[in-house]
Amino acid sequence: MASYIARRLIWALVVLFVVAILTFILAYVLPADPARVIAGAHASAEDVARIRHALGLDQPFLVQLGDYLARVFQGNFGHSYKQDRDVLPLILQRFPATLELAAGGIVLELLIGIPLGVLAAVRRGSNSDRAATGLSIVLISAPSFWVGYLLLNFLAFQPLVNAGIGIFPLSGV
Amino acid sequence: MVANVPLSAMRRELGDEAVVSGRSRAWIALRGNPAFWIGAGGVVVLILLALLAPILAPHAPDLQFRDNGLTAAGDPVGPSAEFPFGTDRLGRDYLSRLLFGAQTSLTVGIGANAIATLVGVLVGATAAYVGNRSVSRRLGRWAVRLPFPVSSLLMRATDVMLSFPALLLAIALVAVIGPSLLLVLIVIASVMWTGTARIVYGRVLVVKELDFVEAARALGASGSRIFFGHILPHVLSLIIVYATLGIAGTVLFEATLSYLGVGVPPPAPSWGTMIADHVGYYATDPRLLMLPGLAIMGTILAFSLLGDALRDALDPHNWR
Amino acid sequence: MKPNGIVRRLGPLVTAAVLVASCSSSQATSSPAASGGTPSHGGTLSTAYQGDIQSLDPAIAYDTESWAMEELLFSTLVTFDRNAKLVPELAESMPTLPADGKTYTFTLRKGVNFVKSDGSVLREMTADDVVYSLNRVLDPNLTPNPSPVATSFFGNIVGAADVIAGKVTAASGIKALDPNTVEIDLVQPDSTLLDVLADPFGSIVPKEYAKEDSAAFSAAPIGTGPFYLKSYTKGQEAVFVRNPQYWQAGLPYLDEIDVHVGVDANSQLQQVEAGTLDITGDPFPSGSFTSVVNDPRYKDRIVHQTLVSVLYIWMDTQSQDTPLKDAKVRQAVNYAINKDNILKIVHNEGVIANCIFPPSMPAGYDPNCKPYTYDVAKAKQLMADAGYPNGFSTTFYTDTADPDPQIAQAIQQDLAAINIKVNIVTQEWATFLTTAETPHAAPMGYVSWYQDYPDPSDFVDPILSCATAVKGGSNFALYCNKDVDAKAAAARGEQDPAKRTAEYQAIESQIMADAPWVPIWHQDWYTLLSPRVQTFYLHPVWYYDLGNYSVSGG
Repeated sequence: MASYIARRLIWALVVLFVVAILTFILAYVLPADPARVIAGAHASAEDVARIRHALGLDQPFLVQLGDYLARVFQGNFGHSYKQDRDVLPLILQRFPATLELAAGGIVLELLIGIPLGVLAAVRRGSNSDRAATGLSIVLISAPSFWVGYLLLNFLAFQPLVNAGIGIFPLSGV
Repeated sequence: MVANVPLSAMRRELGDEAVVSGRSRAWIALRGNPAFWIGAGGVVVLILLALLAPILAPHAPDLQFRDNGLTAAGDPVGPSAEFPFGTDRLGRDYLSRLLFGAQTSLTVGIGANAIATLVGVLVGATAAYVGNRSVSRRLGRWAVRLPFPVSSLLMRATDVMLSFPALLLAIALVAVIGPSLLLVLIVIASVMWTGTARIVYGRVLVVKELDFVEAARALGASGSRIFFGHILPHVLSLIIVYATLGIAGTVLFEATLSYLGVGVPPPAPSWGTMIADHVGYYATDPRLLMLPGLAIMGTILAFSLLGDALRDALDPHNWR
Repeated sequence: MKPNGIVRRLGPLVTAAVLVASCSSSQATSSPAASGGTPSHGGTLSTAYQGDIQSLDPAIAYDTESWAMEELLFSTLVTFDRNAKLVPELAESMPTLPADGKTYTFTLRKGVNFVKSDGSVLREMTADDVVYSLNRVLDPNLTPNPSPVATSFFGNIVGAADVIAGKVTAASGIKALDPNTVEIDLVQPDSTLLDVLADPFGSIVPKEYAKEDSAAFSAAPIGTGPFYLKSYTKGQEAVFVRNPQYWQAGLPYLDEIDVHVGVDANSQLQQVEAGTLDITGDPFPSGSFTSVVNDPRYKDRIVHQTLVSVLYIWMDTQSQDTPLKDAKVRQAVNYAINKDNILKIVHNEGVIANCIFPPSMPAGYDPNCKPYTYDVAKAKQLMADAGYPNGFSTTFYTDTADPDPQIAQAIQQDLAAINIKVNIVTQEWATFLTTAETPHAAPMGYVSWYQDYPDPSDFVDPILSCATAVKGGSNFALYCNKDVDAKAAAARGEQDPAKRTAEYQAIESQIMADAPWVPIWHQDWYTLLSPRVQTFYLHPVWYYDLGNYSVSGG
């Protein structure tokens, strides 16, 4: 058992490593130029070239890959060009909100899903069963990015604008 | 196609004299399932709408009506005699775009899924059937075992692919190569084959240990004959079920990619693009979001129902 | 200002100059919020942006959010008033124009203090600080990256090239003649020196705090502006507090300014309506634009102004693969674009551009410049004359930000009418820039250009000169006309304003005849204010001049 877990863990690390390298290659191959993002659309070619050199972005691919991996192993996940912040603090800063959203989502999921599922199972074949199963299969088919806007409109915007009732805020909590 | 269901169960269900073939058993199960009819009906309607779009659509989907397609303030106009579902932000007929959008969604959905299924089946089945071999060779005085861990390699590759952020890959590929229908197909297929691979892997592992396979081997059948003639047919029903369900996934993926701006290039009508273009109108003109969203939902629903019904009918493990 | 707004506190008498400045408005603004009366002192103003502030280090930041913030924290030798006129700020008076066009002498105001992060005085600003600040922009060793404008803005200063190359640490052309006098020597005559000094890149910083670590200074900036930074949570909020040591008496009016970031445009509107926000920082979302602008509740609270900008189609004038290298073809495209329709798609949130310079740039705008009209028949004739009656196919690039893909599709249909079939490729902004600035990678495309400073040279040299028709340059059309280049160099150094305007107008006509572009429209900027906002105007260069606004009731 222990060796099985150990083997799977090692494979997991290998997979992570490969994914990290692949992601780095992907970002490298993308035509977008981070130096241009920092310098802005108006900077002259010379100034952008100087910034590119200062950031080490004109070095050969393997050198950049090596630097990146070395930094990752030291716990330094780099610096976001666009937001001018270090990546690790950036991710950690967002983490509580992500956790809140995910946890909240799961709680809602269980609160709605478990009773419905039990109902459908206990009254198998009845109308409640069909209704519950039907509802769940219809809602699964709805694209989530679309449902978000529907909810925003009907639960937040319409009540606020038409009736002055603020049930849900348009953004934030 | 023979289903592994004990005849005793069949006799109990249908009576002694009705020893029916597997195919008919599946059909009897299907036709009694309302989900099958709703799903199949939906799929047929969708395919018809997509095929007949050029005839059904009142206007060309890309034609911007400069005179009366927009209000004086530059907003889309609502439903009217000329535009049954109104227009979009550029003054194009919404109904026509919805109909031609069905073509995009179905082409990409079915096409990408076909490729994904093919690749997934090959990878999963090969990994399960070939397993981890090793080959012994003599090098001078030494006997060397060379490992060919086909199974491990293939399934780890599947793992890597699964862990990979699919959207990131899609965005990057589109940025590098440039958007096109073909690229969208390839991108979706390259991300969705992993699910099929894992399922097929699991099933082939089971099937290859069954008695009739051993019997075939004992009779001297070659590896590939066993593989294609005996094992794959048993996986076929599984493939059909998950291919159908997979279409729902690929349609959703295409809509998501279009929503993010990395799907089929404009001005091609795609339901996902139609949603993305009009999110600013979610409050002021909800029709613009409702219609393509319902279209996506309807498509996914139809294929999901059909796939579920097929799974109930074809997968012997579901027989009660 | 509301005519019978409650003025809770009448602070010290406001100088007449400020009153006059806030009451007169010669720009095409509708600004009911700034008409007569005395601004009240005190209160907190809040605004919100969707994008984050890039940096508060004035040597680095090059986006509009950061610039608006830096105008609060720092001062420059000269600045732009609300009519885009150059006026002295840290300089006591405008420098006399040099006879040779190359030597500028500034006499500094006395008694200007740097303010610490607790509101107390650090010390007085001197000429040494000015010299240090300008050299800092040239410093190639700033971390994590050097300034994006070292060459383009300050490269013309004597000795600057050596600093940028790392050979020396200070440019010989920036001298402190005495503690209150600074001299700047230029290599070539260039009357845009004052413009670049007025931009936040010319901010004066204290040398013992503004070191080479840009991130450190951005986190704890120290300047001489009307506000100082009280707190800054990246990605959330920045709070600015009134500088009690500010050298301009009676200013600023506000006690505090709160800037929230990461708030989307829809939420900004809703928060202004709810009263929790005072000014929207971003344009109204396209879908809500009509309903907001026509809403009777907002009648006197919407302010808009035409930006110094031009949004245009570029065409590769040196293209080997497409007929776009033929000027007749490019002129045909100019006749084929229905600009009224495009303006309609963007809810008339701007004005049509017949030529390059917008009406909000009086130093170059030519109302008589109108070489092309919407004439499809003429366009087809030109295509036939050029030898392409059956048209051709090519690719059209734009970025993914709304409404650019919509405009691209409208252009696509216009071009189809003269048999030019374009495939549209939309790319995320960074990718789009990299593609567009690679010669011949993008034969046609749609992009926008917003000013660095409201001078016509800013609309010619960076985007239509031979020097920038290279890889990495912003001249996507690869337009290179040696004659125009020579004229532009001469006009750049011209000191007589009337002559200069005439010269630039002639350059504009010549460029339009060569037709490397189709200028389509100039964008307007719209803002919604809450009822408490008292003094408000849109500034032509930094959009929001927060330091000079006031709220009623405190």
